[in-house]
Amino acid sequence: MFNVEELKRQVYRCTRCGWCRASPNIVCPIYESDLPWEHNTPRGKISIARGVLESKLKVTDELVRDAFTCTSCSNCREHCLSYYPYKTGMVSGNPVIDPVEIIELFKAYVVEEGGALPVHQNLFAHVKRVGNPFGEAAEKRTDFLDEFKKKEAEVVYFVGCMSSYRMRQIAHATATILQKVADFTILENEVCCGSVLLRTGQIKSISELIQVNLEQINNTGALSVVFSCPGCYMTFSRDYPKFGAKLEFQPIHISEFILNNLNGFQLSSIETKATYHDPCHLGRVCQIYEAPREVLKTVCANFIELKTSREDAKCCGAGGGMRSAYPDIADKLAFTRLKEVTNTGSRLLVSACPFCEYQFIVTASNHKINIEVKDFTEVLVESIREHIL
Amino acid sequence: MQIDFCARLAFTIFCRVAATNDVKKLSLRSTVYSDLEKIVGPDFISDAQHVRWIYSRDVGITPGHPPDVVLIPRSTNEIQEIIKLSNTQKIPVYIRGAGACYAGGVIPVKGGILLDLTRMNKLLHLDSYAESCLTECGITCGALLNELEKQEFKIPVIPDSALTGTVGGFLATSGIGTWGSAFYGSIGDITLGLKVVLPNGEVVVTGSSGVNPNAKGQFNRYVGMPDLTGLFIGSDGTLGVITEVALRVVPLPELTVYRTYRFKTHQAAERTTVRAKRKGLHLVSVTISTSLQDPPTLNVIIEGSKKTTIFDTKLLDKIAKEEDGLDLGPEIAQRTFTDLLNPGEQFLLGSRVMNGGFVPLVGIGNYLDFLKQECLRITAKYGFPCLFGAFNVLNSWDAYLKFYFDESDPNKVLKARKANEELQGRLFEAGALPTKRGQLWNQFAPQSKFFELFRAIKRCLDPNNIMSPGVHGLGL
Repeated sequence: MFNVEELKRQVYRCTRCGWCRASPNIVCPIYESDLPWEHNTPRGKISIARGVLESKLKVTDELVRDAFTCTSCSNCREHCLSYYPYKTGMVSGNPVIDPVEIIELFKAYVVEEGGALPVHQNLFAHVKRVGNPFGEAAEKRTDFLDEFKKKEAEVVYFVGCMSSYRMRQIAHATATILQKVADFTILENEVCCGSVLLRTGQIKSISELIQVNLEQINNTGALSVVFSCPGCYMTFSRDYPKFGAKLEFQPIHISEFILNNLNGFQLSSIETKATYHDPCHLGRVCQIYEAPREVLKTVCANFIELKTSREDAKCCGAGGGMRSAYPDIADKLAFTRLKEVTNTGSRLLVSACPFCEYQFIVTASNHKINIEVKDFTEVLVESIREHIL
Repeated sequence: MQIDFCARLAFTIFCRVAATNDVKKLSLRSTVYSDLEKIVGPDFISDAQHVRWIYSRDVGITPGHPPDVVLIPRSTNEIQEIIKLSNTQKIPVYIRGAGACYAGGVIPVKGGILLDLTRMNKLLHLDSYAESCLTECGITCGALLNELEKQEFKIPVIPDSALTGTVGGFLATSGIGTWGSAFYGSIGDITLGLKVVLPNGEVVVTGSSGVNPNAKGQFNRYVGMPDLTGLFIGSDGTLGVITEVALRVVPLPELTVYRTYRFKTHQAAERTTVRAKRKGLHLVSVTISTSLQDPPTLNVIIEGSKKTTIFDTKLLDKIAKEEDGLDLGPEIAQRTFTDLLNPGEQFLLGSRVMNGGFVPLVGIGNYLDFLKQECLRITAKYGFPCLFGAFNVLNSWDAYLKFYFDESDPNKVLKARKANEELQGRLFEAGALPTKRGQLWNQFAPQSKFFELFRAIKRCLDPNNIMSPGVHGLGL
């Protein structure tokens, strides 16, 4: 996947127009929430990459620190003049550059040259040792879902590290939903999909993770794999093929799976005023905007959109290794987003990503913001339960 | 006194090290750095090599050069303190908005301090009675438009770099707007007054607020006096730091109509424009787009009340028809102009050289024929694909030629610079006035009284030549 020639090609096609900085409002959430330095914009990071590739810049600790302040939220891509017009068909041909890809390629280049950020090296070591970035025991990964495990099934639910160890309520809710409409199973020895390593420039060992996961999935004979984590979904569907992996199943995000099977549920209405946060990797990257909304609108009688939503949605700050490496900046991003939520008068913030949910729960708690944060699968399960009661 | 001397000596060494070693990390942190840090705070100053590198270039092909230190001040007061210190220590100061220009005016060719003014990004006041707004210099034109639209106003001139370029940058480069300049002129033509930090650190306010402190805001620029506002428009940071700008605003129009006509010749497009303007039609934007392959198209925006706009549009249709123009409907022009406000086609071929100049209203047809020959010559000689065209600006045109090259190939970069120099020579010979000077046109500053006077004003205001040395051919 890492290709220095591709990095060079794209770096030199950036025209430095600055639409990724502001067009007209601030585009990059790091630039908006952290200090307003050019290196906190994609244009600045691409410029740094060029300086390093031309041997004009040494890879210093300061440089690495500033090169890694990116959540991979892809908001810049939606505004990039060398990407967006091609994506929309306004201009024919393939996009000239992808600023997010440049930044991720550059992270990988920097890691090759000088090593990853120490905190990211820990994530790598944990994944290498126990198959998850938290360093938690591998055998406890999905022990709470043992009842759903079987050798063969039509559908595999890929739980992901976050929902296995930190946000188990999402895994429970997803399994509860799947149980009603699908013949599904959970992998016996699921390991990290590799997203956290790819986003932090650590591409070594990715192939091993791919192999372990795909082999197990293929052994179940499943025709589709359902994901509750957009990061895992994006990594399987977009990144695995870049490493030569051939998927023998259809990857599908739980929101689309539920929408396809919505008739299978008897749902009651939830009256709390609710809003939806588009996870960056599900929305801008995978282009899934409507499925979670349609499901939510079915159960939430008082649904309201945030000021920035869909393509323009602001980032929660958790992605790209930001939460682990730069918790203060990540907190600012989440706080900015939570202010948008409270401005709507919503009492319930719903997302479709365990990272987003975790980030918002922690930030709301830190800043004493009185708001309930839930994954949309949890909301759906509540709706089903209420109906049963 | 002893400390000042040491500090100055230290900073001089510091600058020399920087000048000779490109972006090597500076080991010497002088007291000047500490003093600057005290002014803006530790978060808004950096001499890190990669930071200086980022701020070493703009969008164009002028060779980059890093500053020694970058500051992001938040207020006029902070800028005053920085400039006072710089003037005392004779440290060069360069000014940068969004870095969206291509003429090299923001490139710190002599190192020193670079001021990034993008933190000064607030609309301060909208005066609907005087139809003016007061804004900080670092607000982007797009953000300003957003703010004004909430109160049903807009600035009438919107630049090519609309959503990313700052008002200060637009003004410092004397920019014209693809949207609005046919009727309203350049940004200079809608400027009512300025707040400027002079090279000695003093602050001057021009326009009505400067002349009479009891004046109710900024509503008149000339105030029966020499045009001191105009002195700073297009000065590219050479005469001071513009920190606040008062601009004319206009109400949002009742109706906006777009039109595109295809003509067989550039001359027919010219005749249509001239006839329409002489009839007094409210054409706010007029551009001629053309290329080596395609016949020219005239893209027009008409704005105003419903009644006058409909009337003007019918008359324009009639004139265009009489000139053998093929009416292509509203879509092409609408897309051409609204692309300014949405991610569009600019820059689509990669790195580009854009150059051009102002020429009179009548004669643009022949001038575009000349640019076509230049395109053919550049493409044949260098292999660079070209585009060309013109934006109408009141009684003149900004005629431009763009060519595209691959920046990853150092040979092509050199060729692009050579092609650009040749092009500039030919444009100048043909009587064009440089649209944006920056450092791009340094070799085209003839020994005329005009330039003598400009240099004298510069010496008077900035005897230590700290403000943007090297820009506008003012020498290092």
